[in-house]
Amino acid sequence: MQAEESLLRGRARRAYEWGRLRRALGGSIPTLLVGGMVAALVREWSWPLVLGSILYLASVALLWFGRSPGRSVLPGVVYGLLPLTGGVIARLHGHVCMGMSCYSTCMFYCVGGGVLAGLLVGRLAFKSDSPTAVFMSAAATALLTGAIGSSCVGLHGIVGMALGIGLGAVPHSLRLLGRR
Amino acid sequence: MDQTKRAQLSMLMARLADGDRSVFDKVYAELWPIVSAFCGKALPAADAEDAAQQALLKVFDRAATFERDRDALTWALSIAVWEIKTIRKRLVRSKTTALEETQLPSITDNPEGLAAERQIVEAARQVLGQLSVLDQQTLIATFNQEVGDDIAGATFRKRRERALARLRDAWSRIYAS
Repeated sequence: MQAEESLLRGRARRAYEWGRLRRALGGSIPTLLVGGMVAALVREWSWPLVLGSILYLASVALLWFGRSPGRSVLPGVVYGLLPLTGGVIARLHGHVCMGMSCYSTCMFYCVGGGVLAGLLVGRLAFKSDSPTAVFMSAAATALLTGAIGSSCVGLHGIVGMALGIGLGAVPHSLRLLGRR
Repeated sequence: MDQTKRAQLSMLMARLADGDRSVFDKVYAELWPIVSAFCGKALPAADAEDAAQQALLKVFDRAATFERDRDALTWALSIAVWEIKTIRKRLVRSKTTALEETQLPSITDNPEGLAAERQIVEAARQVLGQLSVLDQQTLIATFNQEVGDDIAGATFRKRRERALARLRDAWSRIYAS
């Protein structure tokens, strides 16, 4: 009887984990679509799709784990759309001309979008009960989402955006340290 | 199960849905006896065990989709009801030919028949218990062919129709196959 009971408990636990994984696999599909859409928009397939797949896997893992990291996936992806949009705009309209001189807008869009995303991620982490976990999860998903767009302007676009996210998170990190 | 325990179970289920695995054992320990007893009332013992196990596995399989504002017990039992319906349908399909009326065993000298009859009465009592007090009084008055002096005939008829409709709904929700 005891063995039967523990067998059923084990099956129930596996059913629970499998149910979570299935839900995470389904719930993360939009992240693949983001990669596909960017690839179609800028007509470059390799990096957007590779980064989209990595974002998908990260999202699956975080959603399967659940709790604060799982809850931070959606805001992280949404905030990451800011640098992503910046990167795509930079790719489509790479420079702006004023009079006789033209300037490259690539870094401006990537870093600017990254700073905005970083500020939002920092704010989200500051408001939550487990700021470190929320920050790590939201920043990672925002970074990967943003990287899909920033990859179109090269590796320096991704680095710029990552720096932007880091810079954006500084004020809230300081406030958080002050609170402790 | 009282309201406090129900609310506690809902809270634990919400935590499990959120990914808090530390409450798994508590939820399992709370749900298994309830689901098992529920299936035991609706099915013969051999099938009840199967139904309860399948229902419990489905509850945990769908635990991640549990919504925080729902009542966990009702949610789990509704999954169990579907499992009971499935097993009943399977049982009906497995019966290849029906018995002639003359071949049917008499209920009075058939202990299984008596047990089944008792189960139906118990099920009816449970369903009746889910209705409001007014509906219960109306149905009891209908059964006893009594109409209160203070209620007009038309009012009572409307009340009776509504009570019967709710009784049918409750019955089909829980036991229909």
